Amino acid sequence: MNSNELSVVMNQVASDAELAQTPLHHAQLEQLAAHTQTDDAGILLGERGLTGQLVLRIRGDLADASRAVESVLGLSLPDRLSFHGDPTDANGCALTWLSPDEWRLCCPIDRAFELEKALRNELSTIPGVTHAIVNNSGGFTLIDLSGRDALNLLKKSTGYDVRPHRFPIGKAVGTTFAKTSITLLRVGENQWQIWARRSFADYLWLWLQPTSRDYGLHILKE
Amino acid sequence: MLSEHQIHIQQKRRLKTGGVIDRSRPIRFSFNGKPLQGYEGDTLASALLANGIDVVGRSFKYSRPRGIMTAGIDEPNAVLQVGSTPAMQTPNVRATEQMLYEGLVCSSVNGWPSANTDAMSVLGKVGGNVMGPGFYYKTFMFPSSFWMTYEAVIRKAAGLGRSPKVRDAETYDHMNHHADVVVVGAGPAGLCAALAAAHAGVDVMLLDYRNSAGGELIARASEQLIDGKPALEWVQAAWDELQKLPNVTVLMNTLVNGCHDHNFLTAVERLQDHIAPKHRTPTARQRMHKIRAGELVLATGAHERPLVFGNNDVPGCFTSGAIVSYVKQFAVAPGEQLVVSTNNDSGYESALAWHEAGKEVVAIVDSRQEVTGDAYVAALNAGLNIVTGCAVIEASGKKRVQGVKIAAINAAHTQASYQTQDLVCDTVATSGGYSPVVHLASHTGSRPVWDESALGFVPGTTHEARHFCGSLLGRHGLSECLKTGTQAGLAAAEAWCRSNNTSLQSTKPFNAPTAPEHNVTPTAALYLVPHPRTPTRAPKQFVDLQNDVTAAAIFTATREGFENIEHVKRYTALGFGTDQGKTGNINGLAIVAKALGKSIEETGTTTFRPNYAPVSFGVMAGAHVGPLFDPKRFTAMQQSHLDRQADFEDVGQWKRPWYFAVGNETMDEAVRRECQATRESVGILDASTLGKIDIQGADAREFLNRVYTNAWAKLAPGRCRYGLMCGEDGMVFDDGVTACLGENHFHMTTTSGGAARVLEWLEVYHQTDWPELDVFFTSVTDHWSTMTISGPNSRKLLAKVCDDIDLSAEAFKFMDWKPGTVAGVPARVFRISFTGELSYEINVPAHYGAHVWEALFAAGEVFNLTPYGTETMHVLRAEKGFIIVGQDTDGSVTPMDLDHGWAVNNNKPFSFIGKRGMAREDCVRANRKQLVGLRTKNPSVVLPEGAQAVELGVELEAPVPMIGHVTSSYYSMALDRSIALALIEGGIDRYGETIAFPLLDDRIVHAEICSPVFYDPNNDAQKG
Repeated sequence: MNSNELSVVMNQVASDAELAQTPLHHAQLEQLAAHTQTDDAGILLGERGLTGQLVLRIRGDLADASRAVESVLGLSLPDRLSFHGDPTDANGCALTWLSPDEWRLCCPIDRAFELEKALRNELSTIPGVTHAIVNNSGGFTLIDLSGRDALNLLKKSTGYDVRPHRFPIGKAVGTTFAKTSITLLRVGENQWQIWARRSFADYLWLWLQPTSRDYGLHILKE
Repeated sequence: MLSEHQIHIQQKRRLKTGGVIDRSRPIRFSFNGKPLQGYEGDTLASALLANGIDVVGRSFKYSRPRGIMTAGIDEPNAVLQVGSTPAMQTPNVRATEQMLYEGLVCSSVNGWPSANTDAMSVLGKVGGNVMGPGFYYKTFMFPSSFWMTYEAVIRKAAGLGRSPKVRDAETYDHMNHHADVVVVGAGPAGLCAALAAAHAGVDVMLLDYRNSAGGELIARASEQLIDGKPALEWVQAAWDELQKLPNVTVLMNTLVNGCHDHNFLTAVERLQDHIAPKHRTPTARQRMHKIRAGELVLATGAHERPLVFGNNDVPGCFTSGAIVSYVKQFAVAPGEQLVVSTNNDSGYESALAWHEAGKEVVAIVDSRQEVTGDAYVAALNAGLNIVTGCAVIEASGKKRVQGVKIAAINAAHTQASYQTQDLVCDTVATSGGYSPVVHLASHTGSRPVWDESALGFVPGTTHEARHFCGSLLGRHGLSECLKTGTQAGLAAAEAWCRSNNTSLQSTKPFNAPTAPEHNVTPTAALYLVPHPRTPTRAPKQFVDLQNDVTAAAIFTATREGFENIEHVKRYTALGFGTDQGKTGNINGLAIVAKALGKSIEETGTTTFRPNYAPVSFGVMAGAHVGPLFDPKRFTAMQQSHLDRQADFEDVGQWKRPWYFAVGNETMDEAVRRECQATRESVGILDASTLGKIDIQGADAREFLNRVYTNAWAKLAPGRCRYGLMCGEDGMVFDDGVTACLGENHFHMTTTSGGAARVLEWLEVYHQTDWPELDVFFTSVTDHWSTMTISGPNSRKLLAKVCDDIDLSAEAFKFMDWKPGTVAGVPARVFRISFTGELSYEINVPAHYGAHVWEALFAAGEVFNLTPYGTETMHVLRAEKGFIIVGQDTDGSVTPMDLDHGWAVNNNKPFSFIGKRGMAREDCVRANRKQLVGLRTKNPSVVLPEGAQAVELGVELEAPVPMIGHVTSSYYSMALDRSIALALIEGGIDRYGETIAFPLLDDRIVHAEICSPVFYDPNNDAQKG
């Protein structure tokens, strides 16, 4: 990078992928994965690897903005409390509604820079639309939750209504989880994704272990 | 294991046949150290009764022997201490609700040294006479300093239960639920309601505190018919169906304790209380369920009221329903000769059960003159002795009933004849009618209303989505319960559909089952049984047995002017205690009404509040204990800090390294070493906890102008600026450095503790005051790991790990920022300083934080790179006079008070937050407290923070005018002397003057007021 050239958009990925640590790196989940039983565990947990995470803020004509976003991502802007794309696909993109003018794009980490530039370019051409894009890839831990007792674990942790017919696949909400806040996505029949702030990752991990105890806990390999 | 014979001897009151207990499975337990045996299926109460245990405790005030009185949650007497180890103590467990388990250890809570031979008995009786109503208020108000002494004595004599003294060995948790229709109570009405709602297609949750469904039908092993088959068969079928329905969740052993606004319920499930400790699993002992109900159906039933008569607390006095339950459900006849005293038909049930068990029914004494109902006929047919128009007016006996006196009662139930008759018996069963359990219906403020036809309070009107059914409505017939339950369940489902704009998905409508109608003689209004003598002269007539409140005490209270029921309650203690007066309240207020010549309706009830029954603190806390009590937030470098033996300090929820002691260093030694290394070579601080907010938008700059006191119009991309934020009142509330990333893009930093508050502040102003501004705020606190290298060698260190930024003083000036690559990682490097040294703040995405941190250490070895914590940071910044918001300010300090006028620009085109506030008269007056430096006359004396300043030479006689206080104080290695910051009245104009600090230890420290900038006042170091 030329140090004289200030750029708002910055490639934030190091060339050496080995330098990065996910928020739950210290929990050594890889080793735990080898020691937990699969047969009768009711809870399956895993931390996703490094994921590109861009916060999209858009105000104005959302229909126009959505077309612009779709031209870049192949995904339109999801309506309230929902997401588009498959958040479980490490090689794909998923776009999640967070608040009336806020979405989060999850993408492969090495595409974040390119997509940020493309989205900025597309969105700036639309009259009546203002936007901001923020790279927040380091700010969150992404946890995959599944298993026959996943619902029970959620019921022990959040007051949100997670009954399957009230929380269909494709829904996403920001809510409380124990004493922290999360974004919760239902990504499959019995599959969920939990996003929590990086600094709360250890607390979350400490919470998830005893809360899973009654059901049996198996750690998934990334 | 005891032999059959021994068990028989022990369980002398156990019937040979009947009941739901399993005689093939004896269970050992102990009461007050005495080994006993019961059977699987027993409650602790039924097992105690089976063993002939009459006395389970001593009363609170009079130390009278007390026995088990009921068979349910309303039990006032049989509250026991349960637990075999110090870590598993549970105080005040109702024996009537505790299932027996192998090895259960229990003891009386208030009978010291033992319930049967109470050494306190004599004292207690003396005390009891002294302790009339209002005892606490009258006796112990003065002198107030003696209160603690009095209390200790009373507690020892009268206390209930003891809390565990060691950490609870068991765990607890919480679970949340949502349901369209929630039904509380799984008696006949509740079962019908749940089935009706479930058949209508909505999500149903059914809860009951008992371990099986059926309510009173189970407790009384009812032989009534439902839809032509025995009631318990119908219950079983209903239960089986509910278990199969996919839209029904059933929680048994779960007591709904609180009914809060918007149909939010709190309920406690007893998961393992019935299991022997050695067989308990690591799962929670109890679970708090937090339930959000769309529509709520209350089928909470009714409690039988005992009649109030003389010596009605002598062991052997039961409610009629309790006798039925013990005989039929548990196969225990707790005596030989029974007298029943009743004002309604249900009293006959206990006599019939007793008779069928082969025991002697001495008499059924019915206060009503004319009785014709089915119960009466059945008793006649059984050949039982029925005496009408009479009541038991007093019992005799001390540790066990030995007989009763009965007397004729006039038709109005107001007077008893002087002519009495003695009956010999050892057991008395009374029934005074039924009090609907209106507690949950009343928790959110709806006052229950008196139903004269039911002689009970029923739920009042409510604005909540609630439905009532069964005995709760004051109609206790089985047929009525089945009907109202079905109606309530269907009505709830329909109401839910209406409010959710959907229609019923009914597949198979549920039809109310039927039960034969009975001919019932109406209940008579009798609460306190009249006695030939006045209540104060008659033997004690107990209303509230747990608190030893007598009818006489209530009359006394009203005579002394306590006429409101809430006042009577507090004056007499009626209805307090662990049972909250479940058996006594209605009788109590009937007596108040009588004493005041008012109706019960006019007298009203006391306020029903959650919780319905005692709740353990453990289950309230749930799993949020120990390390999970409060989240601890860590930076990406936490492992590195642990490896370097950091001691941590709490900053909000963050754990920040406080100092890094090497070897046996004390904190002082570590901090001095860290300060010295930073000033002389280079130190490193983890600053990741600083709040970081990404601000973008065409109006971002204008927004900054309005929320900061200083000007931002000219800050060029690539530059940083320090800013102060004030509240509307002009007082400083946060500060930090904000960098201009691009023309419309800024990176704001806040204090570690203020991050969330500042983001909210920005959002509130944007959303409410200036929505027209095009600006977006996004928290990036967690995204960036921030490490500050500081000291004369920091440039050389950075150069070793960064080769794409020109670090020369000319190219990379103080308050510049540059993008670049540090240790192979893309970074933003800010040349800002909180130490006064040449300093760089390196920001990298947090997943690279640990790597870059370690890379700096590897590169810094030659410079003796020293990690420092918050304490050294505080010392270094104080040497430079840099403030810490919240330490040197306290919400009453303006930028001018800090001598930070340079950070306020009053010429901005739009106003800024705090501009008007700081222009108020009081904010511009002379002699405000202002931030200054202090140099103690003795350089080795470090003033304590918080020390109060007074004028030199002032007379130290209180009140001494105080002119300010020390906000920060340290020993400075760089200056080799103590330094302090202080807020002193008019201090900025008093540099050079000496003031005094009288300390708690009588020392008086003299200090000179000076500039707060102690170190490098020309800023040569940080600009170098």
